[in-house]
Amino acid sequence: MNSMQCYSPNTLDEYQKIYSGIAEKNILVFSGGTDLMIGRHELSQDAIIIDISGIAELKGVEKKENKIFIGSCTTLNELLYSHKIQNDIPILIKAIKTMASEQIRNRATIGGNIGNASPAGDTITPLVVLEASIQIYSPESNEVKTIPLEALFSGPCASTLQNGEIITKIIIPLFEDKDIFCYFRKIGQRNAMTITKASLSAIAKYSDSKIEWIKLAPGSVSPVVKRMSKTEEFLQGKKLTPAVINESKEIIGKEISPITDIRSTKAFRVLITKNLLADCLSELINRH
Amino acid sequence: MNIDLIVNGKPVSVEVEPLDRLLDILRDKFDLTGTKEGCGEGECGACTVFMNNKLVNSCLVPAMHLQNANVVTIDGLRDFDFFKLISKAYEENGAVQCGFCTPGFVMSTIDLLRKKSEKSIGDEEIKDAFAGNICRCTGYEKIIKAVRQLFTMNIKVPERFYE
Repeated sequence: MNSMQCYSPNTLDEYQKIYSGIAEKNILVFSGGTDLMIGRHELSQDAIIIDISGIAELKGVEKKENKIFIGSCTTLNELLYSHKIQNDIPILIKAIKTMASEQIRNRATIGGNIGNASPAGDTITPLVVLEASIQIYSPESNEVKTIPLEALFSGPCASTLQNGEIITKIIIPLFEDKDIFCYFRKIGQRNAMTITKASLSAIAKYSDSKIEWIKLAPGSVSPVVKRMSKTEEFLQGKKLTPAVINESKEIIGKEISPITDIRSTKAFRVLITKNLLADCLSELINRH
Repeated sequence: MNIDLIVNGKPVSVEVEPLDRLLDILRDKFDLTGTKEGCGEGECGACTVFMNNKLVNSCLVPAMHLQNANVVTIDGLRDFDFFKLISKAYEENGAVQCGFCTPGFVMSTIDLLRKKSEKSIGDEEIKDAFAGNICRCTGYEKIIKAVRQLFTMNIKVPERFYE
């Protein structure tokens, strides 16, 4: 491998200065590197690496005004062992527990999982049902903007980030009501260290034997992770009778648009997504 | 680029490229060949080491992250008493067949032993700890048996090594 140029800024200001000094803008933003290291021989030899993992303001979990702020370079294990996340965002804990291995979770960052923009990214579906937003820093304007997380994704593994923009924080609004049901389950080739064939994240409020509201985001069954608004609307205000559950399965089956690829088939993904919804709803009934 | 780091308690300095893998640095520059390359993509865990006291795949750690890092490999742990007990438990339970995955499994075992003070452990917890290690010979059952036995032995594993 030829010599690659690499910079390791310690602050966003330094990042901005380094970025401004690179004429060709052929930069590669690097943090945990658990994906990038595997493909390192395919990286352009002219690429200039900017390693953002040392920027302190991109690390850690903070709670402010009923919101949780997660720095994009926080590792998955730092989140898994964070009391703030354990107490306030249990759905994210459920998801991270199914992800990769101890070795990888010690290195991989939440910003990387999101920025990779894979429909199978397991931190994405919980964050989408939680209606998280993300802060993006632009070194060109030297400004930070906040957008809904869903607006980041423009296609499978394609994001709207451009011109050196980096995700700086993930912002999750918290509920005043602590009695919120949450569900995350993923189906892969095996239990350990597996990439999602299909998954489902859900949060719901259930009272008087009825669904007050429910938010659903399945993984790996559409070009970008998105909410299932038709299924959500159908379930809203309903009693969960077997007929209602069956109809909701049919609706979600039509609302997703999975493909056949190396990991699974379209038909299997439809079947599994329907079954995950049934599993989620039966868990919801059994909890109450 | 030149980096300074500590490997198995020894301060070292080495000339590297930013994306050189820790795995290659350990094996090729320091002759620490107990750390193995299996898949080279973070799936199999044969290259597992401690970096800054955390379990990592050395095949996924770029040299540029190693400045002032503290790296401990299986070769640096051989002489500890707990290591001999782990080695014996693996042998007695037939947990080593071809042996290629063993250094990685032993590193994950050490991490599990030092994190958990209880005398018993459920199989699910052992399996979770081994999510990042693949063995193609034993069928895992013998490795899990060895770990179960180790947990009954009240082994003292330091929280940190060489610090």
